[in-house]
Amino acid sequence: MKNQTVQTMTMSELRQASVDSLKKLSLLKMASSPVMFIVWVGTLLSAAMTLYQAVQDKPYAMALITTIILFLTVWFSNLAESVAEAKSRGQASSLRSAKQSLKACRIKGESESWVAAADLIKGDRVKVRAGEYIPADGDIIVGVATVNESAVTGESAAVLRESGTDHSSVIGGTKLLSGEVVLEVANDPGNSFLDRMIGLVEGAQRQKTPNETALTVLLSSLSAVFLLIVMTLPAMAHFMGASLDDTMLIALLVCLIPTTIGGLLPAIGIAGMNRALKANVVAKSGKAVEVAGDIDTLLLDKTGTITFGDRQATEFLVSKDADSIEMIKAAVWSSLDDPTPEGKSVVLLAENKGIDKPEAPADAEFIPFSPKTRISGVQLVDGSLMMKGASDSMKTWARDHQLSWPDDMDGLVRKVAKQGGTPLVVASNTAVLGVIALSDVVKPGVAERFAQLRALGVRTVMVTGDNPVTAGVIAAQAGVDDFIAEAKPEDKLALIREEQAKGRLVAMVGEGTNDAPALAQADIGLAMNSGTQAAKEAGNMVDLDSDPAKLLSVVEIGKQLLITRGALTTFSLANDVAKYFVILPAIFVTAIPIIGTLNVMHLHSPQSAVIAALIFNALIIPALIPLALKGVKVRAITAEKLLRNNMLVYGLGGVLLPFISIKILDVIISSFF
Amino acid sequence: MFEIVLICLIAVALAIPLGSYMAGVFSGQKHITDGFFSPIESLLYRLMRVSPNESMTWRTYGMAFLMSNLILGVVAFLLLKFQQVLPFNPDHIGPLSWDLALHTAISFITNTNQQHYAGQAQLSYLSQGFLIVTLQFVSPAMGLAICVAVLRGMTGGKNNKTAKEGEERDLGNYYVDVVRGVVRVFLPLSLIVALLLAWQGVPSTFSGAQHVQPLDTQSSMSSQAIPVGPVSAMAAIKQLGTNGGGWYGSNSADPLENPTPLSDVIETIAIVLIPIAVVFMAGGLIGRKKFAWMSFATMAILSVSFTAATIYSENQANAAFVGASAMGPNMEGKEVRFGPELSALWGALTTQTSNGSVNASMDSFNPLGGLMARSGMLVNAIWGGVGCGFVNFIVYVWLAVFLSGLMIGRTPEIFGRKIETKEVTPLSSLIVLPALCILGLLPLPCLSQVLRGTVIQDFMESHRFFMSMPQRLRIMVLAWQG
Repeated sequence: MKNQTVQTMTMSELRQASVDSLKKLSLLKMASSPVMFIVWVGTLLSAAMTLYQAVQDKPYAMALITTIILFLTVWFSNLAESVAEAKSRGQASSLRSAKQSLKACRIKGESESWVAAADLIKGDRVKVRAGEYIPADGDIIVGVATVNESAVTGESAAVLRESGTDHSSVIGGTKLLSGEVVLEVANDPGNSFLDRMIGLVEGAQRQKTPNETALTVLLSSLSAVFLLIVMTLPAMAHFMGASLDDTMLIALLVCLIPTTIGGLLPAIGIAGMNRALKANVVAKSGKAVEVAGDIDTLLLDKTGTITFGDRQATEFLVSKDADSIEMIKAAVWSSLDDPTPEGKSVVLLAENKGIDKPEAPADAEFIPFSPKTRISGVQLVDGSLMMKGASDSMKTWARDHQLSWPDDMDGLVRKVAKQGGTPLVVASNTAVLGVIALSDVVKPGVAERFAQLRALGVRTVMVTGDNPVTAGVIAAQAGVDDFIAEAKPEDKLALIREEQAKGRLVAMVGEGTNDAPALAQADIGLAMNSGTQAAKEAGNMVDLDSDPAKLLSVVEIGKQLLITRGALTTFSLANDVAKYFVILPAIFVTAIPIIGTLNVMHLHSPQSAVIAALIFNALIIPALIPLALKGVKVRAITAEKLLRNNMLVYGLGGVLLPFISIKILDVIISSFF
Repeated sequence: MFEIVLICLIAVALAIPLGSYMAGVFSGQKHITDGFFSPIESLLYRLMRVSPNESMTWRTYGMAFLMSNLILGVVAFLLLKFQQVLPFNPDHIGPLSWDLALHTAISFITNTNQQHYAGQAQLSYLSQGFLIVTLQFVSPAMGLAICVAVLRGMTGGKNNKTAKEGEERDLGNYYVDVVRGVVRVFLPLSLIVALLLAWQGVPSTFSGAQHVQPLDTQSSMSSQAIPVGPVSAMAAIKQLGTNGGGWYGSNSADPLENPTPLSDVIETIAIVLIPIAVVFMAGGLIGRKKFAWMSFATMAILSVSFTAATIYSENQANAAFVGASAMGPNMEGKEVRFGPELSALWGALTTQTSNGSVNASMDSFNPLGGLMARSGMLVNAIWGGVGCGFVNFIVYVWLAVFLSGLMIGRTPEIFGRKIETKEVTPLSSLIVLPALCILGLLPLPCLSQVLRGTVIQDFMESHRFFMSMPQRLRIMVLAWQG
């Protein structure tokens, strides 16, 4: 999907959006946006007045022009929403292609039968063989398989899915490449991951988010105040011996109510969801995206998020009694059969030091690592041993083999541990030789990312099972604000509760079933797509790329959504200042000539002034659609600076822009008079 | 100009310590004055049969507020309606008509103090000195109590530390807050101001009107009745409690209610003293000094701009007579003793604080001055009425935080509390409500000649009438007494 993202709109999509925007003109649909509803009612009233004046043989040009501009204002606002929806639909269509009419081999007791995938219900067991499409979301309960999830994630590399692990869940519509598995269906039809995703993206399930509702209430109340003002103006004008033109009053009302933000509000919300999806994150609700902007504390697993995850050999420390070549050779030999990334990295490091990987003799006996002994190595036919392992285990081993423990060994072990590394002691059957330093490698760019988050007021807490010393070193390297060492899964849940009790909002990443309670408790639980179904159900967002670092992008997307909304609201309200100077003198100047002094822009005539203001009001909506869809850029600066910048650009800019634009429009319009 | 700056500086200098004293009063801190005040308060609690330790939720607190207003309103109405048979009426003043009694009762329990009567002529000493003055003490204390309760609620209530999520918050005890406000804030301050005013020559007596020989021996009157009474006491609380309703019909423009330049300075400071102090009290109560200074700075900037514009406006010639022989400053409707600047200062501050007392005729201000006065009253948050002004300010702060919070990319939050639909809905209705009341009622007099009592051509006539109201009232009073 990454590559299929709709960047620009084709003509046919634009045409489709235009048609959709016209469908949204029904009064019932318009009622969900009170501001635009008022404009729409004003348009209809103005149209009625135009007709009436035309029938009465009175001049109706002004009323007609007003009607047209008002109609355009409403239409532009609907267009903004339609364009945002069209963009989402473009992304959804690629998802939909994955959802074909699939068949499933359902297992009931001993019998197997082929049924339509749509008939599968939660709890059904189905068998899937290599080359078949997985018919529904579910957990593998028997077997191992590689799966191509490119239909959902856009990544063509196959992923491993295995029963009983944290990577047991599969998504309907993806293809099984190898293996044969039995899986348990996780959802009822129409409720699958893909279904929900498509529904969300297409806006079918779109509901106003809490902040959007609150803003709508505020905008409605402001509109109500202006409506009251405009409705009582005729009475006041009557008292002053003036009479007001009804069309002018409607124009005044539309100019004063916050149409810009009222028109763009739905589009901003849809675009927010869209941006999350572009980052390959599926939010289960629009609310989740919004909450992401509020996160105070990020709970990050060390492994995978902050570091690459596997510890790598970074140094060979040789005991003063031993020869360095002998020590490195022993380290390499002991790792020959070690399939773990740690073992491989030992061989790699040795190669970098100019010691090539030896060919393992067929008769060599490898002693595998076991959690009990915590050592591994090799025994050759000549009886020589080469072992490596945790220092305390090796100490016991050395004692058992009557080897002396060199007096600088403890120092070397401590040195490695102090630097946050894991020491592995290497020994042969004749002597204890030295220490391999295994260290976590912090991902590049992580520290900068955390610094940015800190500027935005987000605290980062690293969670790791490592000992406090190791954890501390990594924490310092990555620049997290706090860390929890020797953490158990339930510690995460406790920490989240503790932070929430302090009034903070917490986000975390998880993939395992034991992460599920914490994912559910967190305000943002970002589940990895590769994780278990339980984790995905518990979280309120799923990252299709299974990249834990995505959490940082999610926070930024949430902030961007709120900032865009706030900035455009400020802009919209600031616009009013100029409009007062345009419309008030235009309306009252015949009755109260002194009010003409407010005409600071020296606009041509009351009519041209009102038309210019209305045109500005209408055009500003499509002019801002790109900004609403793209979102205001979030920069990692302190809240004070962010506020000041946005106030300058959207507040002050919102005051000044209409003065200039309306003057220019007035000059153009007055040439027609 | 110098005296205006001086008045403002003295007001602020006095308000800062007063604010921290008031914070102590409402947080129930021990104070050296406890030995004196506590017995008085205990006596009042016993009389009112309330237990001072009972804590109230916003429901019970609000209900107590409404009920106490209802009871006071009924008592006020009855006293005004039957003042002729009640004591302390040496000038044998008759009862108010029922509508005037109702208007006056509502006007004073709501701290509005709009007067459709001339106090010295239509109210007995009991009505003025006891009823009106009591309401002038109690109504600002109620406003202060509501403000204190709002501040407590905003910071999670008195039981914030122990309360569980969703548990009702303790906002304190309404009666205790009102009683402490009256006993520890308004009474001592009023005593000081009343004594200062009496020293400056404001009448303070229970004897009836003084009958004197007119200076003009040629006039038809053989004797002139000059109404006096416990004026200084009422003038003090009128100023301090953002009340505004004066003893005399012409309020502090009257030489007896505001006799000297010094009394004018004292009364001007008294207008803004407590409203400014409330800002610092709020900072102390919620433990956020920075918030107090931010609020102070915001209000001060607006107050100074409004006041400066008013002073500028009144230094210009009267706009209605431009082109005739008008020369600046605008002395129409102003006391010659005070001149344009002190009148403009008073006019600006009294409207900002919704006080309403005057030392000049506001109706004769130039258009800009009138606009500033109207804006001050409409905003009612530039200092604003005692207590309620700061509550209004909080409403604006919450709405401003809502918008600016969005712009830094967070769900807006104030004092650790999210501003969501639940919060925005009542805040928004507080924006719509005044507009609905004011604009909703405005067309009636605009359109109805009956309600207005004039036709358009008569508008200027009535304007002139209102401009010379103080003088006319005095003539009417004299005619009535003569």
